[in-house]
Amino acid sequence: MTIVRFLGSVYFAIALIVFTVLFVIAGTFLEAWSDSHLFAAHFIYQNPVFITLLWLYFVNILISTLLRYPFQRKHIPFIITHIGLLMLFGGALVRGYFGTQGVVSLIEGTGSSQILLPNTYALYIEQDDHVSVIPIHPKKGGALPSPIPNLSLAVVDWVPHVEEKQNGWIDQKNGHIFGFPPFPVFEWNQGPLPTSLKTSDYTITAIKSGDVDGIAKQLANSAIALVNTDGEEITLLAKNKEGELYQAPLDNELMVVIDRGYGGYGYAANLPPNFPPVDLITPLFRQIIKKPLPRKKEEATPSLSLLVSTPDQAEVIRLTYDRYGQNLKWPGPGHTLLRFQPQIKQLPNHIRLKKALQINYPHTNQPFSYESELWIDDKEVTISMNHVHQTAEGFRFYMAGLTHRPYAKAAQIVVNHNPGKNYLTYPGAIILTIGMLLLYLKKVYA
Amino acid sequence: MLNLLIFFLALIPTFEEGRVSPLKGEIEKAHCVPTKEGWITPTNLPQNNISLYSDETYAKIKALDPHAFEEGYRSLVGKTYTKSFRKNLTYPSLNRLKCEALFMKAPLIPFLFLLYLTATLFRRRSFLLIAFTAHTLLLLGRVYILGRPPVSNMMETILYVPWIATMTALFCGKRKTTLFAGSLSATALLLFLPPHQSFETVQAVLDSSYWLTIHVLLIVGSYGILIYAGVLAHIYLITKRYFTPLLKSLYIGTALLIVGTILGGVWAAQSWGRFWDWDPKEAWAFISAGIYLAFIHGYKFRKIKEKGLAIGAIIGLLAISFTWYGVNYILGTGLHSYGFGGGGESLYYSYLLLEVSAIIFFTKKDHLQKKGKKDTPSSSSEL
Repeated sequence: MTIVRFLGSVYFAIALIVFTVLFVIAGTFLEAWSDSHLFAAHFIYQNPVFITLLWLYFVNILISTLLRYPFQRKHIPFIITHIGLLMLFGGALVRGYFGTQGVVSLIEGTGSSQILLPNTYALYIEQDDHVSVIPIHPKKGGALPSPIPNLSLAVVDWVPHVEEKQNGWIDQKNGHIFGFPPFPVFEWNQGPLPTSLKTSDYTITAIKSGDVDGIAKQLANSAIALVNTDGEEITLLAKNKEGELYQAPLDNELMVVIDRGYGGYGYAANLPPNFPPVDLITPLFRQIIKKPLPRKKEEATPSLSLLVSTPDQAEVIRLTYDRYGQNLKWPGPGHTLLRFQPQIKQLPNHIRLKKALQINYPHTNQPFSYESELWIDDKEVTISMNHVHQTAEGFRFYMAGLTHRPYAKAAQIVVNHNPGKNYLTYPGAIILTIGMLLLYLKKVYA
Repeated sequence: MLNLLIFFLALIPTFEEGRVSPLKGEIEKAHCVPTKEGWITPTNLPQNNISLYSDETYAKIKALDPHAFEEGYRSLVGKTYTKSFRKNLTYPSLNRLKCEALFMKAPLIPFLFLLYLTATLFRRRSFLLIAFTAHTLLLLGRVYILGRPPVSNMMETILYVPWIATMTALFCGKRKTTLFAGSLSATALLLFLPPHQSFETVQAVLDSSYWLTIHVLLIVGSYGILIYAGVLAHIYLITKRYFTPLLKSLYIGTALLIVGTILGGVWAAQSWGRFWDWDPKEAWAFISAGIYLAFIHGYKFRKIKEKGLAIGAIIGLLAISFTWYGVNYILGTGLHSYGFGGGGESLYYSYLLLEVSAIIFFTKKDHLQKKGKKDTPSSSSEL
């Protein structure tokens, strides 16, 4: 009984307040220092000690209320206030265990019935028309449950933060063009240009040199040069039979998807019409560089190595975290496509973005309103900041952000489902408010 | 008539094409001066070229008939120039424009500051009532001009908080010293305002008059009451008097802070999709409320005495100052980014240092005095 009395005592309440306040102060300064809410959440708000403290609040409030039994008239404001608090805690617990909060990013015209759950990890695996998403625990290696017969999956390495570069044409050693074996890359200063390979219409040369003009002068008619100027920038030089020069940076804007991605990806380069046509397509290759973990945890891009095995083939594939689940899916053994992305949740509704709008105050860049015109199933709705839409199933759609793409706008829509909100959180807030008002009016404290 | 026709020709096509600039906010560039005919000569309204015509042609049109120009503008009043989902921007009335021009031109803030300073120095209720009335009119004027509660940025709250502090002082008692606490709070806070407050457009995320009224007015109102309580706590620790108004203001302030924070959670659930996520502003509202609740519970259950509660009110004041200023200007991170800014850090740190020294001094003072008198009770039991 003594322990129970202590757990419901004011000493315990004050001690809890002091400890949580110290924790939270540390949390806010950690967040400011790292500019990362996740960083603070990791060390403070999701810390088991802190969560235990919050649970102990629940215990303290509950016991302190029950200890007043048999209740008297003077206890009414106290009980109402504490019931309100308990309901708020209960609401937070229900949301934590049964609620959903996810994001869907839609480009104008596109639709989806899935949401991504931020800061979670999963492996997206596709084989023909069969798609699965398997949750992954960060940093935990070992076998993953495979959704495909005769295919086994295992995480063999996890790097907390990497930078991925995607490039084509020239890697560290060789030049690459589809249809030809890898060809040598030459260092060049002056004199005649060496030849890397020959096609029916052109001789092709891959060169590492900063002297693009010098190479252009030396380039023979009916010849193509891929010039790597500073390690990343690659310039295309070509001369036709008549000696007309064409020069353009290879900016990798034309992507080629081979066999829906099962055959990989490539970049294409075109020559002007006055040049004999040639298929210049390079395979896309990735460079994954390990980096120190950024202080801002939201910017961390983990990477995992996955051993994908079939009875007759095994391959280690390194995948980089695709936080929006919108980038390329990489081919693996057993005719599979793989992507490392957040976990997904299926919605009971299909949403399609008709139009996203940012309306500014006239003659300024300051936004007046962000809006999205949506179709949710067959219903046309508009959402904006401070005006959400709730479906019959209780899913709420919030306009969270808007990004401008070259040809269309994309809206980030937060989708939320909180089953305890109407039964616990909101009534709890009202009951607590009433209780506090009564506490003052009844002068219980005075 | 011809002049009116020319004016409409100048304006209407531009209005239809949606290229007319909003007048609100731009009038501050105008040289509006009080004249015999009224506050502003009609030719100064509006000052900028709102038509598709060149400035030269526009000036000629205006010069034809100033009265016609004003009449022409009147025809636009209330018409929408920016439309969006469930909210629009419309041309303000001439009176609103004139009122805005007056606010931009007249040194209203220094005038208000002087009124409060006088009330502080002379400690007269009537003086404080005059200052409070002027303050009320000034706030009402801003509400009239802006068409929303005047609490959507830091500078606006610095004008609102002392009003609440003064109102609390006027409600909490008639004694000169408690009124002095109110006027001192107001005078000190108004020092931080520039002579002319601008009229800024409200940020998209805040643009919900309903929640702005409920949540922000409550929260920022609680700052005013708790600042007043903090000043009273200093007075109590020096004079050992005026405990009841201190207690009252602590209860009301804490209740408003908690209720306002919880209703902020409801707004966050509406606007961001979650009730609570330890955003720094939320976290510091929790810290402030926690500090006040700990001291109030300690006092209520007789674990501390009046002096302990007064020291708690000062510690709470430090937390409130950080919730209000520190989160926006020192931490500068989180979702409440519409209030962020910079400046005044060294002044703030000096204030913190002084206040902490005061707390230590007041804690030790009685203890030392009693030690001198060879009295036995320990300092902790005295708290």
